[in-house]
Amino acid sequence: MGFLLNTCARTLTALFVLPALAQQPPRTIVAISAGGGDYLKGAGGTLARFIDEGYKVYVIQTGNDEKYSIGLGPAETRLANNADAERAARALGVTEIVNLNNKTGELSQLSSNELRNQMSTLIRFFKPQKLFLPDPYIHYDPEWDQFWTGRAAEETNYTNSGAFLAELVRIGIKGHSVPETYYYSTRRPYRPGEGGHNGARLEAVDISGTFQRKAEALMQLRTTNRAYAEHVRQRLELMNRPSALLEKLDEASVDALAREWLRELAITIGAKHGFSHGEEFNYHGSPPGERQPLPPWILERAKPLPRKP
Amino acid sequence: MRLCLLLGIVSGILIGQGQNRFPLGEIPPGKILLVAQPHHDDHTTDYGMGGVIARFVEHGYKAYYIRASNDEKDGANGYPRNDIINLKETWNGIRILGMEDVISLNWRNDFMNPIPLNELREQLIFLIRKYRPDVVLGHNPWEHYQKNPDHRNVARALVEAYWLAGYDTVHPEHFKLGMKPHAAGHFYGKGRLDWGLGQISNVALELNDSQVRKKERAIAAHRNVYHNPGARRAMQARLAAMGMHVPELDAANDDDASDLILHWWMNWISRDIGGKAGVAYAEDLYYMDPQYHLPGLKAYIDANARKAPSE
Repeated sequence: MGFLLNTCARTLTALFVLPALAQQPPRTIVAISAGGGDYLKGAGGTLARFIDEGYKVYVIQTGNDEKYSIGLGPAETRLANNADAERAARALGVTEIVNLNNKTGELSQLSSNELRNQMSTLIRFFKPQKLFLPDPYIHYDPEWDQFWTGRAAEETNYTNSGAFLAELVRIGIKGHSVPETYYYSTRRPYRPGEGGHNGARLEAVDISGTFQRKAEALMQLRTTNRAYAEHVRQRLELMNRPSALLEKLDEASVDALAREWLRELAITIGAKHGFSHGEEFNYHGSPPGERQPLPPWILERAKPLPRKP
Repeated sequence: MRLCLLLGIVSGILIGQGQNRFPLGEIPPGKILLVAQPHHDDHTTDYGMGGVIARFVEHGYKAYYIRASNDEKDGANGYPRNDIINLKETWNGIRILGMEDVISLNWRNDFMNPIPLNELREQLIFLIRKYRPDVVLGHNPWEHYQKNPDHRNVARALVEAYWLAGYDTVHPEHFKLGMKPHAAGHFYGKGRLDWGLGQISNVALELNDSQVRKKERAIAAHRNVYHNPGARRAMQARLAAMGMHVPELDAANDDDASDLILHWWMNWISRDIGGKAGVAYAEDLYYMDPQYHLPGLKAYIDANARKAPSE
């Protein structure tokens, strides 16, 4: 009897459920990131949750990461960081990183239209339902690659309509409007006055269940983590406050510092929203199936339909 | 004791309400208003200033509109036709508001991020020197969550032009053409609010019925992008699903209903801002004059300024 029921259930699934699933468009996310690790820091836990729900995540990396290292030349740095970023992406479950290979730290010299159009092309190709991008309105971050990347990325909201990039339409790549946008702050929590106003909302995500994976992914960024630890060590020495934890920079001490940095970020955000570990976003858009409410200038004139006699 | 407590509660409520209110501003003395925006419809949209323009004109100002882009993306008629239709409809819209002229700079629509900003700024300096406005009105360049590159760059070039047009060290070639330096006295900026905290306005200008009616008609003049005959049936279907209807939509045809919906939109926005300023209708802006951040200096100048003897 059990076998019969099981067979029936499998047959029904094959007949009805699987074809319905196959007809659904693939669930896709594009995460835009200046460096190979920025999207991990700002949104890694949330992306991991979506990956677990069945989303494929593609990362568009704008910079070539040639600057972040200690003791390596630009080309070696780039090779090392790109390899680290690939390992980190795999650890999180990202499907692919597309690296646009612009010179890190020099994005202000780029034509922003060119950068925007590169992103638009890939967004049209991947057709995501959700777009993650660094928030260009997060102030007081001296790394301006976040700003230039975020600014070009938010303009794709315009340029993915059919009225743009006629050359792409000609070769069959049509416009694609992304329904949901998540602005992330790469290195710190949102501050009062930033994000979540008017038509946007501050979206908090509980990443307690995925924090460990986020941390494991971040540990793969060995070259930048080591550079960060070295800079922290030098600054502490300048302040006459050398730390015994960083006296010897080895894999364990570098990892411990990177993990502690990430934990502090996650628990600070989490404490704002009642989670143990959190991430937060300035969110624009509507989730699938949710319709915008009728505008107030219509609703204020609405009356109940007269009853039929 | 109870009386003190009651007074404390009442004054607390009043102070709380006051914090939510925009202070009401007045139209500054002057004769010329120069409005510079990137697009055909930016004078009157949800983040526009059509009612304020109408109020300046009714106050006796001559008003001019600079359209910085070519608006080729707005509409479904292809780039060149969109440009022509949108320019024609700019004229229709600004005439309703009582403005005098449109100057179209024709920069490529939605591609204005990497344009040479000094070149756009020079155009605006030239126009400020030609029209010699008392008041300059445009978008706020410090606005956040503005996805449109045209708005950001036209706004930035405009405030720089507002700052530099008065210096005789800036673009001296203009003076060979008979221009003179001109420092406009007042700047008003608008922010877009539907994507986040665009700006925190510091003043509201009250509108009367006539000014709101002009604003309603001015947006509807941009038929290429706003006329939507299908809107009536879409609204009716959604209302019916809620067991509701709007009698005015039932009575109107599709074309008229499209205009009605636009009129209601502008009217509601004007009432919403008006409610925050304690009046029936208003628009909110960020206002700057050279002393706006130093009210003490303004009081000193008001008390001590004397009219220069005529030569």
